[in-house]
Amino acid sequence: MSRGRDEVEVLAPSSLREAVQVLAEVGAEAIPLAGGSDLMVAFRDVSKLPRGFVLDLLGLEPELRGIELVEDEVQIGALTTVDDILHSSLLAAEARPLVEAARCFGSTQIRNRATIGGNVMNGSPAADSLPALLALDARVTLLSSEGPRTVPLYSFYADYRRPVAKPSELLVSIRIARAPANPIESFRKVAARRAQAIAKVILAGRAWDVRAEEEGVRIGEIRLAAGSVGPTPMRLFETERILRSELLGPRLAAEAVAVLRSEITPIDDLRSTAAYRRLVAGRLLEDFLGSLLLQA
Amino acid sequence: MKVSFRLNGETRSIESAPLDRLLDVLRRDLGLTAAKEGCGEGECGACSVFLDGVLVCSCLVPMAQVRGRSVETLEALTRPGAPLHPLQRLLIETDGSQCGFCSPGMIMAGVDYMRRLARGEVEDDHEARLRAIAGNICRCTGYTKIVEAIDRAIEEAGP
Amino acid sequence: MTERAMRLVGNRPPQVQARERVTGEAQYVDDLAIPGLWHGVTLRSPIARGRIVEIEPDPDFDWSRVVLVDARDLPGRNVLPLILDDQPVLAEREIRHPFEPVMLIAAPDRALALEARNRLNLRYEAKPIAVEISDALEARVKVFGEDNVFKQIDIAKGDLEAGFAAATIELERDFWTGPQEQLYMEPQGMIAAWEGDQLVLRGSLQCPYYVQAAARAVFGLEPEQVRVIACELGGGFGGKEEYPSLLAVHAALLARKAGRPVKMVYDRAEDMQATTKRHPSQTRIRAGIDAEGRLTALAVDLVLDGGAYCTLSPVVLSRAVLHAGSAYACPNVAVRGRVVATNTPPNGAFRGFGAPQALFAMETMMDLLARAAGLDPLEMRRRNALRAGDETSTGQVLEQAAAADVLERAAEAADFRARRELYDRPQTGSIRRGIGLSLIMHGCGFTGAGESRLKGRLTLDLDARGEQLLVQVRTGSTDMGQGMRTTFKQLAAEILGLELDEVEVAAQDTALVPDSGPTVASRTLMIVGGLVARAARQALTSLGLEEGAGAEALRLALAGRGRLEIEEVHEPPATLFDEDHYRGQAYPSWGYACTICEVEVDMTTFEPRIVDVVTCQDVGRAIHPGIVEGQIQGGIAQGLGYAAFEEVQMHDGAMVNANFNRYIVPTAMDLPPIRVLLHESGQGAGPFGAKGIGEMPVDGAAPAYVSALAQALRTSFRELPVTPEAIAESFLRPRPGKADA
Repeated sequence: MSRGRDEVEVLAPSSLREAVQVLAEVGAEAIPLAGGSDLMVAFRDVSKLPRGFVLDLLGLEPELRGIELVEDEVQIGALTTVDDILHSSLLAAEARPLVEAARCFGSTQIRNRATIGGNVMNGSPAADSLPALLALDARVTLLSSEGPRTVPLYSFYADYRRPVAKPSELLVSIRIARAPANPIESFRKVAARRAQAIAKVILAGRAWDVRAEEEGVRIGEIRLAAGSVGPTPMRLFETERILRSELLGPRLAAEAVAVLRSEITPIDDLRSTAAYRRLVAGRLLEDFLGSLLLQA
Repeated sequence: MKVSFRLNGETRSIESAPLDRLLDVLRRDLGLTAAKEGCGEGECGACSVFLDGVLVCSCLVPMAQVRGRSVETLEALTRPGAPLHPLQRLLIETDGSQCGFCSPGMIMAGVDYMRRLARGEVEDDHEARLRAIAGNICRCTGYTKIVEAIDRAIEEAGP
Repeated sequence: MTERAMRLVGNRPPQVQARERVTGEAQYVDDLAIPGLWHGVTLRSPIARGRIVEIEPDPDFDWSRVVLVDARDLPGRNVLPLILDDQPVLAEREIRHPFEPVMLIAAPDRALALEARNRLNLRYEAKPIAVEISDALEARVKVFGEDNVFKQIDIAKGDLEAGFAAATIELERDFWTGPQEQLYMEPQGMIAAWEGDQLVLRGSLQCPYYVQAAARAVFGLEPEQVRVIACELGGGFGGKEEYPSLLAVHAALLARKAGRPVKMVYDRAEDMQATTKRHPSQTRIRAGIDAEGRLTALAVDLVLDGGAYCTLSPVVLSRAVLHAGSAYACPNVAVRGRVVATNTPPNGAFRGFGAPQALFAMETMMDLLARAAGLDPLEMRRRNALRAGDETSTGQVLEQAAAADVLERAAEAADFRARRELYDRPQTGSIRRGIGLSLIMHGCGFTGAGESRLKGRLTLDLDARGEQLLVQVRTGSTDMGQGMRTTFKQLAAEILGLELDEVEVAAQDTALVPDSGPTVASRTLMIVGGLVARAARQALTSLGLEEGAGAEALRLALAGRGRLEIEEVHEPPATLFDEDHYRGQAYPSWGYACTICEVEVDMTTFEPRIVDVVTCQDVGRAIHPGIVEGQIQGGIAQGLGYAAFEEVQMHDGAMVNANFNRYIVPTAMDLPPIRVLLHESGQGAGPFGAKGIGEMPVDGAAPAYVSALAQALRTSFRELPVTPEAIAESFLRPRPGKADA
């Protein structure tokens, strides 16, 4: 017999220590809840309710909400809201693609509630923030009673919406690389309308150490990531490799676009078609490479 | 469980399940029916309220997260005998409310933007105004008159 | 009409109930607090067609806590009466569409009712289905009769083949439109309560007397035994025309068995899956023009998908065929319209009611013809626009036709010609631009002899009690956001010489108001508003007063003779239109509208963006210009949604994108300000020369948008909606046979 929503218990730890302890004991029966923008929708279906209880994390805001410089990285607490990101001057300086992702994310109401940690743990391939984080070399820090561990975001998803975090682990923060000197960055989301929409295709990129040479443009470093084009948000390693291999010109650009189109694995679904996604992802890359040629 | 919270300036204490939606508690248990259910998924904005001064969809807020907090609904904007909020008045003057079902949420979103503006939290431009209400779907007006009401309300409020 | 300057007509007073709407005090059906209320839900068919084998209740569930209703609980025939009486109230053995209601469940709270529904196991045998128009026409699966055709209508004028013989250019093209969801913000909702032997129904509904008729038929009741009250209405757009009758009967069945009031409010997914949509269409047009670009012959074959039951489809079809030629003069016309049955939920009324489908096809065809003739879209329409004295496809001679006027005014305001020429020049770069226009006309009021059958009634009640004057308009027309109450007050107050707040509009409650006919078909202002004006003038005559007499004169006159109740009935002669041959006056007035749309397409992503919309609409007279502009802007927004965003995705006859983030309607960021020019010809059949304006704005938006898109991309689109995916497709794989493009 399924349980009704009113029968589910909610535990609300008031410290990180307490939360981790609870997860160590009964993590497998719990669903951690932050801003609820995904989970409260899921809970409309009683089969999506937890077997045990809901772990309300908002009591941890003093410890887990905020954006700060830590050593050479920007650390974003897991309970930082998307609206916090949108209005962060630190991120405006260090992580433009992430701020752009926040700008086109959901609506005011959703940006106010949705947390970056919730986004990462929910792991939707269409999440606006995740390609941006991937392009910024994000690493996530998980904490359990046995201590912290850090996982690069590109290896965080085993499969469709399956993060590698264990039930005993809590996502506490995300760290991203600071902006290098003179970065060339892009975040493009393609969706059915200009607000309050779920992405059909996302492409995020950051390149630096880009120099114009006589025969073309040399890309020193580049990060590319895409959303809604596979079971998980994807870092485009193959495409990056090709782009670092030679001078950028029309030939290499065309080759990179071809590699990107083979690297992604889009599907037909209710929001778009595989063909459109493949086509547009490639054109977004062309566009980005065009801006590299212009700005180098 | 017993949930105590501030509602439109008064302390309330009610019995509710922790995952009960704030929207249901407002409408069913407290008789505050300005917030409407248009979709139940946070996609239409008709149920917008302020939670600790922050605009949220009350259909996505579990009561467990309301405990000890402050909730403000559209009802708080209009006190008996007091004039309407300028945005309410202007929505009437511009004919920006047709069927009226989206109006409570739309007003809350517009008021949120005006408050942020007054606090210096947002950079004001046409696009930002549209973005501020983009989470509120209206099926009657095509938005033209709603945007006009917001423009005029901001103009009246002055710099 | 009076020579007197008008005090109220043409003003923008605050709307009735506007204050309540912006303060949240307005009471929609789900806002009502009714003690002892139970909540009802519906068990629906998971398949499109088949036979119910058995419904097994879970033996582990305590069924004593809930009430169940199935077809056996109906007191009489299992039929929801409408045009064909083919739709059961609850499916008994045969299932004919997905989400067809099978059983009803009521419980003290909604969660328990939903839990009980989950404990009912519906076992069925599925049968082959027909879900596309092509399936229906093949008629291998018979959903209705032998040929799946609910209704066929033919219009013939002149000599078609002679017309084609006279043409220098002839084109034949096919056009398609998908379903569209009304997406009123307030879902369907109804509360039923049996008070003694009277059934009281409170709901979100457009037509109280439709609901009354359905409930009377199902329960065998007299008119006074069914009281229907329209609550504050959170949008309708046609979606709450016929559907609430079914919901009311369901709620009443549950309330009867539960012995207490029962509320049924659909959640959004159920509302989108189970209730009516705009009819999908498939239209073939063959048209000929002469060397001057004038239409010589027009043959239209239009098919609508009616879904599993007939509902109002024949009437929708009627409007579609009557609008098939748009606002153009053509001497030789043949229109064949059919509405067919498929195993999808029944399609039904939606603002425009058949006209948007037909007009999208014809307007897009006009662009194709213009291109073939080397004319720009504006010039093409100038040469063909209907003028006063011209006749329509049914031979209706137009006394007034503002088609050319609205065309020129809109074109000038949008600087159409210059921009069209600019965007015709070669475009490079990542943004491509286009501007397009449409010219349409829309018939106001019921089609043909419909009004003669309806005999809409309205009562004006005047009384003086001491110093107080009481003036009340009583009408069964409802206010779903289109401002009926405000407009009617303006009309009565203008003529009687009163202030607005001296006139009251009675609640839309069948116990208080007469049957004014349904609130549909752009008829409320023109027909029922006309009754308001007539009643007010009749009252003045009865009291021996002049128009604009004023409160004091009325009060004195009434004090002398006592209360005065004026009833007006709209009874136009039925002979104006021949329904058997589709000849004569199809509508008492036609409105005309030109809509111009400008778009940009991002060539990296094929995302279109609407950058400007200008429209000029012949409204006859704007009683309340703010309301009229709002109707036009909102209608255009829905039409642009239809064209560019709104795709009902179907799988085996069932909508599979039934929520707000998969079925996409425009947000504030997706639409530019919609610029409205009102054309007040003063020549409509309504009060002060007003025409109906509710539906016309929807009609022209989609073809104008598609015309702009076609220019930007140097191609043509003949199917709605045009998604970015379709744009990308057209860019990569230009259609073979691009002669038209």
